[in-house]
Amino acid sequence: MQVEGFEFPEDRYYLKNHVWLKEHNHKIRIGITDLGQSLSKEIVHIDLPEKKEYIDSGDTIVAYETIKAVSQITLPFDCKVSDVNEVLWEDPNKINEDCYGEWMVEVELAEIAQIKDLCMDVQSAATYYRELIKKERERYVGYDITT
Amino acid sequence: MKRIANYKNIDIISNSCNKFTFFKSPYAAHKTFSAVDIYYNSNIAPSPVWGEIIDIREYNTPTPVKNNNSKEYLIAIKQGDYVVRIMHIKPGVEIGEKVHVGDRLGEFIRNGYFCFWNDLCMHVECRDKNDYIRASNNKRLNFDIGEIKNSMENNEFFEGEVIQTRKNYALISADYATDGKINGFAINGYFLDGFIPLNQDYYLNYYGIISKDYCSTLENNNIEMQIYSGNQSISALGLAFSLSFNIARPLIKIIPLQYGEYFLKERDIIKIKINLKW
Repeated sequence: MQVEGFEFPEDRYYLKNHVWLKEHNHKIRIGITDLGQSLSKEIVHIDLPEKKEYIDSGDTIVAYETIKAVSQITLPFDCKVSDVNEVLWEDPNKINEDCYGEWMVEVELAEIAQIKDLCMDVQSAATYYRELIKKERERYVGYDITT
Repeated sequence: MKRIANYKNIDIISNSCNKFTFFKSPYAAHKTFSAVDIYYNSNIAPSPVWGEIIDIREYNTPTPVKNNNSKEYLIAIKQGDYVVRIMHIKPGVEIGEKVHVGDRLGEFIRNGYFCFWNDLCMHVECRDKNDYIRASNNKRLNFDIGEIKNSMENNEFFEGEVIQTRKNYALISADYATDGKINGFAINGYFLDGFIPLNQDYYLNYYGIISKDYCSTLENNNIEMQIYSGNQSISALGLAFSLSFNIARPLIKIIPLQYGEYFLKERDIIKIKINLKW
């Protein structure tokens, strides 16, 4: 599904912090959305957690940096890190190149079904992000970035 | 020319007519008191430091508009064991060149890092010479702030006059505070610096307070604010405060809810009440 030109695949769940979550072999893979990567162009550094590390709900699980900004990913549930995408250590900019192909971290939850309650499906995510983009664009109507 | 801030022996120097801000940006270095944005009344960007240009990078800035890329540049100037990294300038210099304070670095640009109310400026921060690309690991700057006089107290009114209206903001001239070298608007003995949203629920906020002995960034719930035109309460996106050297009069920006909304006119009398809950 497209929202203002940004892709939101229908096979995964979403959070309001530009994070996608997808079930993979009874675990959850996590990455950032197309809109999220567009707001974080040129990622130059990433901090991934240790495998087997327990992360509490609301604690930072991943931090990534562009040249000017630092972004942190938190999740609304407790989890255990089962794997990290080690390719990103060397080249975190791969996230910008293929944000839905390059996951960041894979986690295990006590009850995997809870992500349906804690996260948005694609329809809800599309509505949320459409509104978010619309609101900000309205503020900038007539504004020319080059002037 | 005057020193705005320093890190160890690196002095960040600006023309004494310019305004500057330590907190008026949501990006990493401003949250750790490690960056300053300097505003010039010109398109030409002079170097705020001396040193050797060791790197120039072009990259894309964030954008909420698909495929609407805008360019940014990082200029790295080496001084001893440290690098001063400078952004928002299209470089007119080359790697290997040596520059002095005031030499032309290039021209100011605007891009995806800018909100509609931001004026052209340069972003300056200090880093280790081997670690100047990523956003974090910046060096905390020393600010030259003295004892602040003529500060307002909570719930007193800043009262001033609209001296200019533009599509992106209105400028208010009001009584200001000073430490003798630097002017700004102060409350409870602290200069206000940065963008403060009027609506506490607005997702952007990046401002802080600064005094001789202390500085801190603040959250939306640390401040209450009302703006009046005459006796009428008015809506706005927020206020922006900056600092200036003592030969320049600081002004308050009132930012409309959206670009192009002329919500005030010149000579309107504005009263601003601020309650710092900190």
